[in-house]
Amino acid sequence: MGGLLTTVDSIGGVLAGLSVQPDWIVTTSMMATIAHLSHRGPLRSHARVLRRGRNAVVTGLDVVDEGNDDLPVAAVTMTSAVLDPGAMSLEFVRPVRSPMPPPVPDPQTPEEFFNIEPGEGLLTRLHLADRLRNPWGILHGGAVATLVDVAACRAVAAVRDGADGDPRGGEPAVGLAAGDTVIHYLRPARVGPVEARCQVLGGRDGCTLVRVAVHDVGAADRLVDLASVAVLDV
Amino acid sequence: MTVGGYPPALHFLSDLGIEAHVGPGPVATARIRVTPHMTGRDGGVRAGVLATLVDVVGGAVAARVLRPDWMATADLTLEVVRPATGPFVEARATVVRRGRTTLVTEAGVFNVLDEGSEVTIGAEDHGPVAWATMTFAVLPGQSPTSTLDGHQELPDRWALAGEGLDRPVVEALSISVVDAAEGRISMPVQDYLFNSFGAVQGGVMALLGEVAGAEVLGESAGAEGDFVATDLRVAYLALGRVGPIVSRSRVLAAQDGHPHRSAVVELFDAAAGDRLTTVIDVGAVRVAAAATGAGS
Repeated sequence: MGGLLTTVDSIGGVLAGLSVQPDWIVTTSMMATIAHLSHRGPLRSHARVLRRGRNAVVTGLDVVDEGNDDLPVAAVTMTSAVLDPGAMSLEFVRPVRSPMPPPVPDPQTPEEFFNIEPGEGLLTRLHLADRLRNPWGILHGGAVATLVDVAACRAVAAVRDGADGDPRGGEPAVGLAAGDTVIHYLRPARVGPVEARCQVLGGRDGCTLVRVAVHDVGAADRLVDLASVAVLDV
Repeated sequence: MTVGGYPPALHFLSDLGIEAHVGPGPVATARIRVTPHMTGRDGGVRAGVLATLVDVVGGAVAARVLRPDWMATADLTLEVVRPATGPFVEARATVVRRGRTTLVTEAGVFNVLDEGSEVTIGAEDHGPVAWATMTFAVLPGQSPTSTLDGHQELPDRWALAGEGLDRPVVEALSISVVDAAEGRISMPVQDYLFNSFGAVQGGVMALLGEVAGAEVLGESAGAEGDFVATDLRVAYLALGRVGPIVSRSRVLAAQDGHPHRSAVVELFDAAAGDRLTTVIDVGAVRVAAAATGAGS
């Protein structure tokens, strides 16, 4: 899910940014409903501007699986704040094209690529490398999405294992995958390390809701993102 | 009582009987007594009614923090983790960020007793029954579109005492199903539903999404049975002022055999050029599964 939302954030962000030029945007929230968890690929996104206001742009994206008869993969609504780009270079040749790069023969795992520490439990940590920063110099929204995906699944696994004192511990282990996700990008994460602190709120019928508060530890531990993730038994 | 005359006695919010307490500090609580007319197929308060409650409590704390400026709900998310069966349902909201143009709140929703303590039945039934977030767009205090005066004192406590719902909430709002298989529903616009801007209240729009989403998912599932909406993710794009408010829906499909289903509902103001007003992603579970309220 984190990888999917990284792509969505990039595509939706570029579309929203193009719609407000010469200004630019920063993502402030993302609401993602996930339809299918297994994909053949390639995936195709279709984005449209739903509302363009003075201070914000709302973008809707539909992702389908081209390799599986355009089966729906996700529907996402993004909101972006309009900002003065300052000295940032924002020149585009219309129509904007970005060819799909060839597959990477030996790809890293999302945890490796996004510098997420190995671990378990209710707290997951990401180290903020420069390659994870967006054009504004802050942690990319897709990296945040991947962090909350990994953190939420680890939190549910920990509760299931009884590692955190939850009375429901000891249930049989099942596979877990992040599904529907909401992320509010509240403040920029600039310093790091960045910690995702989880609270398992409960759930029903094979779906567990996790609240994830993301803090920039090196910036006075301030709250930078607030998310919820529906973790599915698979 | 009302705030600046809003809402009037004959109003949806008044008929829900919402009681609220704001502060001290950037916090607020609001609660309603659970009645059969506001519950859904799983016996819990409908997600759309819960969305209305959290929109009110989020708006209450936002108004206090932003005063004399005002606000409009830009987005709302609600995730129900077990049925909200009461006897009272209480939403507790806090501000998580106040910016120049937006304010973000979160709210937990709890089953509580009359004296305010949380209902707990066994080890699995504790904690919130739902969790919500809201983003509010900050509007200048002298907004020409609002009937409220942002400079007036806002009360710390208030209670909306209407007649109460005398029939199921979907009937009370005159919501009709036009085509269940297409998730097409319709609702006339009336003063009974207005927010302080003279447009349909945001919680009611969420309720429309809930109804349309459950209809289209139920029809698509066929013999699998009825669905109850548990998740609402609402983006408010424009005000619904003229009506009727009509929907178009599509199923996003099942999650690889998982009991959860999802749909996307779009709401249009039919007599206002068929303007797209709201997009709502709806998550749902089958009624039989939802009714168990099994913890994770």
